[in-house]
Amino acid sequence: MKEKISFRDSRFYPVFFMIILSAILTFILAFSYQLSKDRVQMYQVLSLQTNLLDLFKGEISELNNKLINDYTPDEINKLYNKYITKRTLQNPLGFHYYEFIQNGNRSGYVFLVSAKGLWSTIKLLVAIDPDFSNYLGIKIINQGETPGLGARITEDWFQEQFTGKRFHQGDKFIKLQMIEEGEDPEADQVSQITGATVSSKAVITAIQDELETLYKQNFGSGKVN
Amino acid sequence: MSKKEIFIKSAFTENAIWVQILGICSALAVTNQMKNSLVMGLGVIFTLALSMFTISMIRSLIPSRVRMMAQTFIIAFYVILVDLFLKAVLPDVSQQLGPYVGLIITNCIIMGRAEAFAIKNTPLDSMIDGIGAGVGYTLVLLIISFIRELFGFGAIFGYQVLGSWWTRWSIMVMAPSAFFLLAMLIWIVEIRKRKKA
Repeated sequence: MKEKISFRDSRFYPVFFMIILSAILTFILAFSYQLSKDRVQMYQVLSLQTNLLDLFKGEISELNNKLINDYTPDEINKLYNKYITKRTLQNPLGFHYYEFIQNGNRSGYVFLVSAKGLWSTIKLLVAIDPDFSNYLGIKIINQGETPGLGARITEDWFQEQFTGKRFHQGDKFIKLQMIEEGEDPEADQVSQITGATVSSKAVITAIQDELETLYKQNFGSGKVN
Repeated sequence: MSKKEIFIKSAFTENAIWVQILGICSALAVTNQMKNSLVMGLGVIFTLALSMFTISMIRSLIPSRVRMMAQTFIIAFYVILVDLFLKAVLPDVSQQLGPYVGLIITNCIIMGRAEAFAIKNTPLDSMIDGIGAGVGYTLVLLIISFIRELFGFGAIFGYQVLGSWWTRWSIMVMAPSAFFLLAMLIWIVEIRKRKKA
């Protein structure tokens, strides 16, 4: 005779249990995501605007030596609207870049470039003067490199050393050389981070090779708008 | 067992790292700076406390055949909540930690405590056991990162304590040094244990 087994012991119970558990947990997660979505997005926009303004901090009179991080989101938004114009490239179609405009004069371009690091794709903003001859600055905005090694590309000294380095002169594109950390870099040389050659190299590749391609396709002789 | 005994046993006598040799991967990865170790430790303590509590609460409902699946699910649930919270409230910390928050899910200490303790004890005891295991884990991370950051960067918690005369030991910054330090730590603990016995 067949014994009647309870639902708890049947083979359907585990399936039933997992479905209920998934439904409850997923619902709570989706709910929390909806709650936090706007804030997360606001922080992302704000962080991009802050980084763009920070690249031109020397030229913004309102800042007068105050740190950009001391400003409220509204003030940053106002400054952004005053100085920065978002534009779109034809090649690749839909690629965004930014122009810094003061009193009707364009004082620089900013591009979002990226390159493969050791573990992650490193994304950074690179600001360049209107002639495409010297870098005005770089800003790492996204990276997942080893903390303490590759992640040190976000340290100020590493990013600031690119300011004023040559990108392109005449029809020649400058190749920046890496030297050991702690040595004194000369023109066209930058210090790499000890123990993080790949991450350091990726930053240079992004601002040299990718910018070179963008320049040739959109701004090269006769194409400057 | 009293609550205090549960805590001490979980944090020290049966420390996840130096006795059970669990959670080694993350101990190698984040211990070259004390700040990262501390935040990682806090994330693990939080996840352990809440997921052990939840798993223990529903332990009589979890079918034993799919119990690991259910445990992983609950752990992942809390880790994603932590991640969302950091993104929405502390975006700077979230940016710094990058992928490490998500990696808490794979920390085998959490799964270990769920299997060894939470599945057969009361919710409150399980939570204390979870916090204990997390504190023990954080303690080891901080000890190792203290040595690594001091010798590797001449700093403690990011503050430069050794001057520019200090030659930084590159090996301390890289993962292999954690292997040596961890092994030495286990060695010291073992020696003390044998002396006592």
